Amino acid sequence: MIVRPILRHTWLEVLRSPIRLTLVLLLLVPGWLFGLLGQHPQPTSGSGFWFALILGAGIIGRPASNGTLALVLSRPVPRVSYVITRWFAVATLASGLALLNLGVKGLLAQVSAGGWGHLGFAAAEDVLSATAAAAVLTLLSSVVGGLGDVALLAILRIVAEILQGLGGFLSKPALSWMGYHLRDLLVPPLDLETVFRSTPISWLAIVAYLSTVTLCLAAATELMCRREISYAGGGD
Amino acid sequence: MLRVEGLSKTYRGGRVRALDGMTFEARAGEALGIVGPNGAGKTTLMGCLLGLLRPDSGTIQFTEGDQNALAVRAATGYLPERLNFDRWMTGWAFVAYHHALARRPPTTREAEVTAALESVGLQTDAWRSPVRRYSRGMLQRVGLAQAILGPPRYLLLDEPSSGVDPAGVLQIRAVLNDLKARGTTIVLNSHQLDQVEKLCDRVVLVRGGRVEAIDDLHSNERGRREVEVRWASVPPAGLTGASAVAASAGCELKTFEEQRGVFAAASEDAVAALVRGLTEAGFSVVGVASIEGRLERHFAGRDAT
Repeated sequence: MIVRPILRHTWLEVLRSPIRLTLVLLLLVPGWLFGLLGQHPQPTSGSGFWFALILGAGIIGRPASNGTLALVLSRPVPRVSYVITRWFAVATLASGLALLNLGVKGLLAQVSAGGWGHLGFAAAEDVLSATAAAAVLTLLSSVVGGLGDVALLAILRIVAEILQGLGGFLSKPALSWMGYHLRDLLVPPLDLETVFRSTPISWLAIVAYLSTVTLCLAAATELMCRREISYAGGGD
Repeated sequence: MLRVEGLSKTYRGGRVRALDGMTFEARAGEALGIVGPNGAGKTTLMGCLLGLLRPDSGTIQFTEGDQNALAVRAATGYLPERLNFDRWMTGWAFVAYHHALARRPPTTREAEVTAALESVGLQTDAWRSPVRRYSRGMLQRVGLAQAILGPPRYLLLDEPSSGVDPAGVLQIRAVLNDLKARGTTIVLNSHQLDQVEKLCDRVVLVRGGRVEAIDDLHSNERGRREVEVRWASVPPAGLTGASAVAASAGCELKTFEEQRGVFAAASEDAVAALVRGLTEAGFSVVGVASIEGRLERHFAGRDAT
């Protein structure tokens, strides 16, 4: 399922992009600087989504638009494998960066023995967040070309907020419900600390998260398998 | 072998018909030219052969299966017209990447990538440079290098010598002729008719998404060379005499003018016999020249009708 040459290629491609690298550094360095300057806020999760967004923007749409996808798919690479590999590459890289970020912050903050449990939950949440965000971007990127997936994500997020707001304002629970679920689909939430420290454990939250990720990847692969790949763009 | 049968493809809900019942085949070790005007459907045909576009109807059958079979893809090399490669990669890394994607054994990577880059004539000092620094001709060469890895059983080429210098054109032609000799089936989409004529065994002439004709460039009819014979003076027999001499030499008189005649001849020997016969018949022959560009004239003739 995972095509190793494409996995390596995607990692290198992402890490060689000056814009992506700059954004990653902007996300990493300020927190570390604060730590070095002696301000040690408790490290929390949250960066996984942003790393996935930075690294995964245009994950399918960009090679489809710039013509490189056609050459790759002319090779013995199943489209399903291509989609899954690209998602996996972004998810692992974003997770790795999120873990690095938390690890460094944890060291700088000199987390006490009791704090490592919290840090562990935060790390797991970041990994799950990065994985889910990469899946959502993979789906959106299979629909629109170039970096349109990021724009689409932003638009849908705004729509979700509007629906929630309208639902409350007009007293229409259905609208609120739609907005709420649309938001959860775009950024699948999983508060592990709450899930695992509550009794009984909320398996529904875990299943909902896993089903959202699976649904996004299934839809992305289906869209890719149905898609016609133009390699000439305006040719005859 | 590659066989295309009744291939049709439309766009925009059927309003634009790109391919209309196209049928042809390419044999093992054959170079097949796809020639036609802009909008003839050549690029759509390539997309269908590569499994990138889905035909509305018809079939594409390779020896290993249809166009979507991974075995076919593993046996296929492809050079696109638009050289949209990963510009951050070096030429060597790019070809090595495609070597891996083509499922070639990793142990052969170093040797096969090196051999491919050498055979297309990419200068060694450019191998480790990023592709974004390459000229059009260098991109064409590195693109061809990834396409010929294997070597492939099927090679689909879209304008392979576009932007390449004359020496490069000769080198690319030599590479393709070598692959042909090793049994690779080449499908060549090109507007450069002289290149098609020099490389291809047969040519599929397409227009409006249909196969207008399939010409065998090696058949007697197409293989007949045309020569122009110029003379300073003509004997009294004139046209009749020239026709008689041509017939006895196994040639055909196509055009007769006061100071020149155009003859179709099947071989060098026939041309020699023709010139000898004309001289003996009283034509003061001052020059003989072969006329090239048969395919070009063929197209010009069709366009004129």
